Amino acid sequence: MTESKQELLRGTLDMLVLKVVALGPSHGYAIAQRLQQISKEFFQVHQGSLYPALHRLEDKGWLQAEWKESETGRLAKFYSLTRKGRKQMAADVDSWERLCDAVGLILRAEEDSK
Amino acid sequence: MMRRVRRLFQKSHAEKELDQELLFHLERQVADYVATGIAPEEARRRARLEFGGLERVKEEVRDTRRETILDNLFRDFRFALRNLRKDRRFAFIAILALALGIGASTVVFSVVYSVFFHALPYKDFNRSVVIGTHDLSNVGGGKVRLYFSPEEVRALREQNHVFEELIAYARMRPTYDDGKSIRFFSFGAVVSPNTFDYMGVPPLLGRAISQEDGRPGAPPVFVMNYRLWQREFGLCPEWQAKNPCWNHALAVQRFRRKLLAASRS
Repeated sequence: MTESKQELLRGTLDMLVLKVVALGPSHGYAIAQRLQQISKEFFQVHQGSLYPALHRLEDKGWLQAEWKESETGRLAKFYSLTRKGRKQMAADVDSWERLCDAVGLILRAEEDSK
Repeated sequence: MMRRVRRLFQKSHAEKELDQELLFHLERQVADYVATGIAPEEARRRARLEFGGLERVKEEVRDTRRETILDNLFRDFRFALRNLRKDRRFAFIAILALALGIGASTVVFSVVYSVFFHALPYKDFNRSVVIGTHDLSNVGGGKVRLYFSPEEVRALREQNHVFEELIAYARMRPTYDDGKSIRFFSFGAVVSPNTFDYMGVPPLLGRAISQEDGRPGAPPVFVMNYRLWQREFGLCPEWQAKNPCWNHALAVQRFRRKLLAASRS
């Protein structure tokens, strides 16, 4: 059990959840697993932040939920992306990339001036 | 939107769903640990530990949900304000329409209230009724008779077991003669001596008609309303001393809602 030191910013978690759900409808547990796997164990999302995020996104109309049978045969709440959610995700990713670019520019500039 | 409204009414349903969702997560975690070769007991312990308290997670979910709803409300409110500010004409019309609507319903309600719920501001008037005779063999032409002879009134007052008190009146047009000119007033009535006790409103000036004035041979007396006193006699308080013709005058009564009083009492 690897305790992650990485605290996610709230907006970042929302974006990552949207992205993971965009890959295919999934329940909370699978979303947490995938976040962990895709980030190569870098992020470990705690339930105390994952489930509030899922419900918040559902209330905002970016995710929709339905109860379906899971892989193990038990009923689970599956989240999928709405059209509004897809638009939101695109906007989030876009602004995130621009932020990264800008931060990168500044960091590189510092190295140049050394 | 519908889902959110439904959720408001089905609080327990939402709670149950949340329970199920979180339990599912926990069970999957346990199953995954077991699959990697950890003993079920240990797996359950670990999963619970990692989960960090079902109740705490639930409380956090509830918190964010409340926050989101408040957030949305606040955003809607700001949006509405901004739009109103942007379109002054629309805002003006909307406010005017609201003002007119509220004003109109207030007026209608006050009329309805005073007519139906709080008709007359006299003592126990919500228990007062107008009586009539429905005996078809004994009606003077119409189906209902609302007038009674003095004998009938006396009999009704003394023999009925339903009413606490009974008052009667007969319309008349008073004539006023002060020795110089004669004046006619169009509204007036002869009333039974218990009328003013019944209404329980003390006169502004002088004394009201009492049982004593109903004895045979008692001098005629009268009560006038505030409006008449004001209009015809200039609110003069010394009317009795100054004017010998006023010997019979007794009191000035301020009737609120005079017209209703005249038509109902």
